[in-house]
Amino acid sequence: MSASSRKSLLDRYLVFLTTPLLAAGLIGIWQVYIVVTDISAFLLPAPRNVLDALVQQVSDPYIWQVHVWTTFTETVLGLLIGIVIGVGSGFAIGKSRLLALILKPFLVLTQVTPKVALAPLFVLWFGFGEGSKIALAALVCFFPLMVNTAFGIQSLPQGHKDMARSIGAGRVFGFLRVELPHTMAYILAGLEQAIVLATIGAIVGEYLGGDKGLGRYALNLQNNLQIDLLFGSIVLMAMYGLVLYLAVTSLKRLLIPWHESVRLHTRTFD
Amino acid sequence: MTTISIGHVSKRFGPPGTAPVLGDIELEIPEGQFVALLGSSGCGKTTLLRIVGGLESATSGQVSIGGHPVTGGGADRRKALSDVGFVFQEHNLLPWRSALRNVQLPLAQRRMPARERVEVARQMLELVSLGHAERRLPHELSGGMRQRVAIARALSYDPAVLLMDEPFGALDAQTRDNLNLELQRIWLEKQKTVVFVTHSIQEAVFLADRVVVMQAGPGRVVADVTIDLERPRGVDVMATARFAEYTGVLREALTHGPAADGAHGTNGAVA
Ligand SMILES: Nc1ncnc2c1ncn2[C@@H]1O[C@H](COP(=O)(O)OP(=O)(O)O)[C@@H](O)[C@H]1O
Ligand SMILES: [Mg+2]
Repeated sequence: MSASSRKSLLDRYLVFLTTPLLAAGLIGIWQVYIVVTDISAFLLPAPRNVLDALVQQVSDPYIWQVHVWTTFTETVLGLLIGIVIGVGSGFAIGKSRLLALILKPFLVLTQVTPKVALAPLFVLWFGFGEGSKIALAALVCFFPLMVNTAFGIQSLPQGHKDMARSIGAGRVFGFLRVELPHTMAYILAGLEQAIVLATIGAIVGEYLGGDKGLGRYALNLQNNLQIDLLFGSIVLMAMYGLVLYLAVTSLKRLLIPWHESVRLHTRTFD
Repeated sequence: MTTISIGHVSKRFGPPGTAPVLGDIELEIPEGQFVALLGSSGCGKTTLLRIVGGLESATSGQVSIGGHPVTGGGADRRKALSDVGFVFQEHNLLPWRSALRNVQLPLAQRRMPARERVEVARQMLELVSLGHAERRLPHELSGGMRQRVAIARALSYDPAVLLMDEPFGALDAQTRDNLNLELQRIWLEKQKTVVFVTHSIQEAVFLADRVVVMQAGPGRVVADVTIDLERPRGVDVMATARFAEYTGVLREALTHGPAADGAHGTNGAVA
């Protein structure tokens, strides 16, 4: 085995060693802090109690069937709407310089507005049900999709365009075989951000009203002062976010295995 | 029969009044000829080739290929360009397509059935000695291999005319010599009309039947030299006195211009 391949092997498996060690270290510090300061269990429960709470939650079908499932459908539906609007408008803006110029001030304004500030309005418009959560998820996640798609289209190398013309490609052929695959890498980069934002949108929406979903569940636990379970629910949400993020990363490997971002990740994280 | 006819072509990138990049280019290229377009960097070789290939419009003048005007537009233009293959200075392969699927792209555009497409693309990769690499993505190929795939792609639909813009310019000398030998072999086998842009005198003499020398300010033809060396040419031809004589004439033309266009300046015909 050569030195360089040994090095890349080390790179590849290093995280599997360091991550558990770092996590154990943090939990150790947490435990020591509790023992030393004697902090109230209502502010910071012990790791052991949080683990018990988490085990209880994970084995409770109600949590999965009602809370996780509700948040999941809100996130995915919001994301789908965000994809349709974001990718669609991204293509339009990327293809038309005029449209990009006209819409730019409006888009900057949408970007700088804290979109969760619209949440109360959405509750008013779409009610306390899933509609307002889906709308909020869609609103917060469409922007990176639009920007990335537009940038993808505009960054098509001149050489690709020349090649397409030289083989006699028309508009449709050029779009399907050259522009779209090229832009796919950018759309997926946008999707990586969008899935995280859609989750945030759905959970923030749940904080504002309704009776189902992970956000609502966490809020109830806080009201009931069930702090062990509240911590457990936060871990649950982190896991939930991680699973969705990994789903997008797998999608990238499936759809754009040729792309640098995937190749580099494959080298270091596989 | 003339395949490529370039008549009074001039090109200006700026508004009227700005200096033209190409002056008044006149060139007739008969069918099956291998023409090298030689000139120093910036003299307008790429611009001229792009106009011939329909990638750029001419400010004035006409270009026709096989009797169909490229500079016209519409159906005629499409007809003219359907018979042209372009090999660029950069390989311009699509990074998400394997070598084989890159070669298939123009065939898909021409709506060839999938099975036939794969077969033809395989043959083309064999032709450029890359049969073993058909599944590889561009980033898994060396620079020389990428240019071979680009050549296979341009040849896949069997165009009568091949336009090549310094295709081996970025490669090392050894790889370049190898590819020049292969290009000669392919040309002898396929008998295409080739316009090959280069700034290397050696490469021009080695490959071409005829070397057209350009100079800048504005881009114009200053010499037209017929290379009468037997084919197939091996690398050893570069060590012969005749080869040295040709390179001397061309170097003179490159530096001093029209004055050098003496006894060798036979426009068109190949001995
Ligand atoms: N798209 C363009 N816009 C403006 N100037 C250009 C463009 N393309 C080429 N030129 C100019 O035209 C001249 C000839 O360029 P080019 O044809 O690329 O030369 P060569 O291929 O011989 O090196 C150069 O001075 C270059 O700067
Ligand atoms: Mg050039």
